[in-house]
Amino acid sequence: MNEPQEMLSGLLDDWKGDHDDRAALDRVLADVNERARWQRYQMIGEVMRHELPERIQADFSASVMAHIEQLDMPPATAVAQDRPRKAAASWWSSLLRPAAGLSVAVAVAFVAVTSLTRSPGPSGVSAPVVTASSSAVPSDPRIEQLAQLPVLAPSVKVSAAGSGTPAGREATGSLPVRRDNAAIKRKLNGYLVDHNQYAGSLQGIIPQVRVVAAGAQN
Amino acid sequence: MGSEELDSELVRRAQAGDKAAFDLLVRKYQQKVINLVSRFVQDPSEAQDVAQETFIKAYRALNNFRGDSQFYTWIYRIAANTAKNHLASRSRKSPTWSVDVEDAEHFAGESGLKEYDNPENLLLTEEIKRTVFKAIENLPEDLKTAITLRELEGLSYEDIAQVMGCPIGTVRSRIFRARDAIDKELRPLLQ
Repeated sequence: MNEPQEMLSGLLDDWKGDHDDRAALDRVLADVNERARWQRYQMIGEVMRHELPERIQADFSASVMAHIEQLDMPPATAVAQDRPRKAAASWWSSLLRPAAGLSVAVAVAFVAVTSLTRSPGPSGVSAPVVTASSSAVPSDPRIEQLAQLPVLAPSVKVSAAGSGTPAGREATGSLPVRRDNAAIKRKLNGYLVDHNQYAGSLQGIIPQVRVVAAGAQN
Repeated sequence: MGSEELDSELVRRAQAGDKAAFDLLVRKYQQKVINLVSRFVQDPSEAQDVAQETFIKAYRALNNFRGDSQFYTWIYRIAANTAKNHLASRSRKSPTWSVDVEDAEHFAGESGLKEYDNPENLLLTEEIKRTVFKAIENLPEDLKTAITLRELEGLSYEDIAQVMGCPIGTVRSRIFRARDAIDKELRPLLQ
């Protein structure tokens, strides 16, 4: 007795939906020859009941399935589930894009303000120096490691205290600040002139006028 | 539980993407659908085309099938509508046989599907019927009784067991052995 085939025969008449039936159905679905056997078993009953059509096409189901394969459709439910996810993503991106732009603008403004406040005022009093002493900020081993690198040492010309000695980073932990006011002024003025030239050209004002004006101030 | 529950299981699997499950539904209902369509469409080859179209439409709409009705009533409804639409389109074309450019493609497609409309398919059907009835004649009496009560009378295994005075397992085995014996004769014709 061939038990799997007897199970298949039983499925045709008496599906109970139990574990054995599901296992038998799995076997049938996994094997096209078993599905063909299913069809022939069923055809026997159709012949006995005189239900067979006048003409039969042996590969009818194969032809239908070939058409379906050509359609190659994704399940409609999967497409439907995907749609809200994409919509949510585009909503977030539309929200984040201006926020990102704003944050960049704020960061640029902060850097500009910070760099201006660091430069010494007209009275020659140095601006407050940003310190990184171990008491104020918890020390990070990686920063400590970076600080030990020799490549940084040549750039440190003037100490934060203005003593003329090489900056004692180990002692104070302060960052080096340039005190060459005239050079800074010249450099800043140059930046402003360049900026005005580009900004002026965008606003429809002749750039040369602005350059002359900037030069006249000097 | 019975055939309807099996259909529900196959539909559920097909909706989950198991194409073999839909293939089994096609194999299960293809002759019934062809018979139904043949009541509307007289030409056998056209009936085959419409039946194919029915199953393709059913597959495309499968995710909309919620199981409120039985699968076979759903597929029969699609078959009837497809057959009526086919007749409507035929009646629009039939008065004149002048074919314009758009219709030419449609006609070409139809002619491509007319491969069933040949003497071989008619002979095959007759051969199948003859083979099955001959094989049944040659069955032992207990197998012949079991398969006849099942296929012609539509009795359940329990009822057949009562009629034949044997356990359900024996009925199950007898019906299988009858089918297997007939299938041995039938298989060469369909391969």
